[in-house]
Amino acid sequence: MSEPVSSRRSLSHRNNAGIGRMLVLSLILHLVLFVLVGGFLVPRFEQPKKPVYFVDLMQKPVAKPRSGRPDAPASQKKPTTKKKPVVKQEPKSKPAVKPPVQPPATKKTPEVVNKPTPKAPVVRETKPTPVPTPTPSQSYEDETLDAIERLKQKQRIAQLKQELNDLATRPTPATTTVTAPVGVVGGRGDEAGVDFESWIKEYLSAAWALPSHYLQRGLVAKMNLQFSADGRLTHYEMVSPSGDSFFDATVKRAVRQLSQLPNKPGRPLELIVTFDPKEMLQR
Amino acid sequence: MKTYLIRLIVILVCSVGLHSTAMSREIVITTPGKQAIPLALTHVLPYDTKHLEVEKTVDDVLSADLDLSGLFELVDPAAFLDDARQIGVTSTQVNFSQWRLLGAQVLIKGAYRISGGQVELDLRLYDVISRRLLAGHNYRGQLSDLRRMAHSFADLIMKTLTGKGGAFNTRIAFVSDKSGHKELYLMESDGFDAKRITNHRSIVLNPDFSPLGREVIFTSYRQGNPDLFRKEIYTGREARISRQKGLNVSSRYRRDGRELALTLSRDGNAEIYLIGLDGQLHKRVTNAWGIDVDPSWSPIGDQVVFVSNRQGNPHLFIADLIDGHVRRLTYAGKYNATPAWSPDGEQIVFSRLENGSFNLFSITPDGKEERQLTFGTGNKEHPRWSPDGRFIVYSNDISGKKAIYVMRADGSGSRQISTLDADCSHPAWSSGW
Repeated sequence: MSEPVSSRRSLSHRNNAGIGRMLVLSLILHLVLFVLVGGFLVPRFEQPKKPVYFVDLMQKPVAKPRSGRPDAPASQKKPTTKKKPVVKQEPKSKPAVKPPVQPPATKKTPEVVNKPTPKAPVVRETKPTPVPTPTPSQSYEDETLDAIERLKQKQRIAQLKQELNDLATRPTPATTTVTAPVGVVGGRGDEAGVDFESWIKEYLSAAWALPSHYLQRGLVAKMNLQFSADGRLTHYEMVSPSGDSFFDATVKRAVRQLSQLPNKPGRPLELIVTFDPKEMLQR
Repeated sequence: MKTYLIRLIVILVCSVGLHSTAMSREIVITTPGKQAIPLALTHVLPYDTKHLEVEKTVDDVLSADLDLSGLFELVDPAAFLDDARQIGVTSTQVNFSQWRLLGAQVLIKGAYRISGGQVELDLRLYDVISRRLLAGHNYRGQLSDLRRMAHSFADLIMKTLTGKGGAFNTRIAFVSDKSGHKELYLMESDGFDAKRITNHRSIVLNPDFSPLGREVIFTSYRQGNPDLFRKEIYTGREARISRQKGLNVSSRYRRDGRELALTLSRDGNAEIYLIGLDGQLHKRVTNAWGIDVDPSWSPIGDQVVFVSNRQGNPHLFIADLIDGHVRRLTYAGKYNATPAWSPDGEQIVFSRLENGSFNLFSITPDGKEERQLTFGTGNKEHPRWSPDGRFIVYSNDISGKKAIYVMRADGSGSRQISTLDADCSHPAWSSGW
C-alpha cells in the first residue's frame, strides 16, 4: 500500500515542479514583453514631445537648468545684482522728475495763491477794527484754502503725469528679467543656463558648414559623441555615413570644433547626433 | 533556480534602462550654420627672391577656381594675422590657432623659388580644425606653366575634400570669328590664354574633344561641303574623316573614344549615324521623316539623346542603341535643342526657346524632373558639361556679342570667361590638358 502513496507523492512533486517551470517561463515571457513595450514603444511616443527652441550660445550649459527661456538676455544671469540698480534708479528718477516740475513752477506764478495770503493779513489788519464781522473773513479764508488745495492737486497731477512719461520712455530690460529668466522650457533645476543637449545641438549647427548645392541630395549622417565628466570630447565616430565623403567631412569638421564643453557636465555624456539638412531643403 | 531568475530580472531591467537612456540622447541637426566652407588662401611666399608676378598669378588662379566651385567662402585677407607672412610647408610651421580665430576651417599655404627660368612651387592644404596636412604637392616647371600648376592644385583640393577631382586643369574649345572667319580656338578653363588652332578661312562648327583630350573633331566648310575633320592638338595634324554628301555635323565621341555619333544627310534627310574614327559607317540610328540632329551619348554608351521634329516641334528623344527603340523625352516648350548628357548620367542639359530667347534647362533621362537653370533675356545655347559634371559651359549673347559663360550644374555662379572681342560660341570642355 505504501508504494502507491509514494508514487502519488512523486507524481504530485513532478506536477508541482512542472507548474513552477511554467510560472517561471510565463514570468520570463512577461518580462520580455515588458522590455519590448517599454524599450521600443515608449521612446517613440516621447520623441515628438521635445520642445523646439533656439539656444543662445552665450548661455552656458548646466546640469540642472531651471525653468525659463534659453534665449533670454545674457544680462539676466545676475538678477540679484540687477535688482539693485532698479532700486537705485528710483532716486535717480526723482531728480529727473524734479526739473520737469519746473513747468508747474511756472504755474507757481499762480502761486498767486500766496498773493491772497498777503492780501488776507492786509484785510485782517484792516478788518479787526470792525471786530463784529468775523464771518466774511472765515469764508474768505476757506475759499483761499480750497484754492490752495486745488492748486496742490493740479501740481500733484502734473507731477504724476511727468513721472509716468519718464517711466514710459525708460528702457525696459527689468521687466523681461522678471518674466523670462535664463533656463529651458520645462527645466526643473535651479541653475541659470541651458541643458547640455540643447547647447551642443546649437553649437554643432552653427559650426556645420555645408555648401548649398549639397542640401538637395538627401544626405544624412549620424555621429556618436562621447564627453567625459569634465566636458572633454573623448571619442567620436561616424556610426552611419551619408555615402558622400565631402558631406561626411563637413560633419566631422563641425564635431571636431567641439573639443571641450564650456562647463563640466559632472557625468559622462554620450550622444547620437544626426546631421540631416532637411529643414534647409524645405526653405 | 531563484538565483537564475534574479539575474535574469536584473539583466532585463538594466537593458531596459540602458535602452531608454540611449534613445533619449539623440539629437538632430537640420540647419547648417554656414553654406560654404571658410577657407583662408594666403599668398605664396618666396624661399629667397620675391617675384610679385608669381604670387599674383597663383593667388588669382586659385581664388577664381575655388570661387567657381561654390564650396568655399574665402576669408578676407585683410584679417590675416602674422602667420600669413610665415612660410608653412609643414604643419609644425603653421600657427593653427590664428586661423581658427579667424573662423577658417581650411587653409592654403605655399612657397616658391625661381632659378634659371625654372619655378619650384610648393602648395599645401591644411585642415585647421584637426591641425593636419590634407594635401600637398611640389611643382616644378617653366614660368609659363605657373597657371597650370595652380589649376592642378585646385583640382587636388577638390579631390581631397570631395573625393572627386576637379576640372580646372583643362581646356575649352570654342568657335570665334575674331579673325574674320569662324575658326576654332582653345583657352584655359577660366578663359585665359585663348589661341586659334585652325585656319580654314571658312566656317568651323561643333567641336568635341576626344576622351583623352588630345584630339578634337569639328565640322568645316573649307571644301564647300560641311565635312568632319579631326585634329591632333599637339602636332597640329589634321584629317578629313567624313565627307559624306550633305551634312556631316554635330559629331560626338563615345566615352571610349572608338566611335562617333553624328548627323548625316547622305540620303536627303538628316539622320543620326554611328561612324568609326576612320569615317566608316557603322550604324544608322534613326530613320524617320523629320530632321534628327545634335546627338549626345549616355555615359555608358548604350543610348543617344538627340533633337527631332518628327512629332511637330523640335523636342528631345532618346534612342536605345541596343534594341533600336526611340522614346520622346521632352513635352514642354516648343523648341528644345542642343542636349548634352552629364558625365554621371543623371541629367541632360539643353536649351529651350521661350518668350523670344533661349534658356538652359536640365531634365532627368526618365523625363520626370525638369529644372530651369538660367533665366532672363539673352540666348543661352550650346551647353556642354565639364568632365567632372560640376559645371556647364555655354554661349550667351546678353551683351550683344556671343560670349562663353560657365556656371555650376545647379545654375548658380554664372560668369563670362571668354575675353575675345568677337562672337564666341559652340564651346566644348576637354577631359584633360
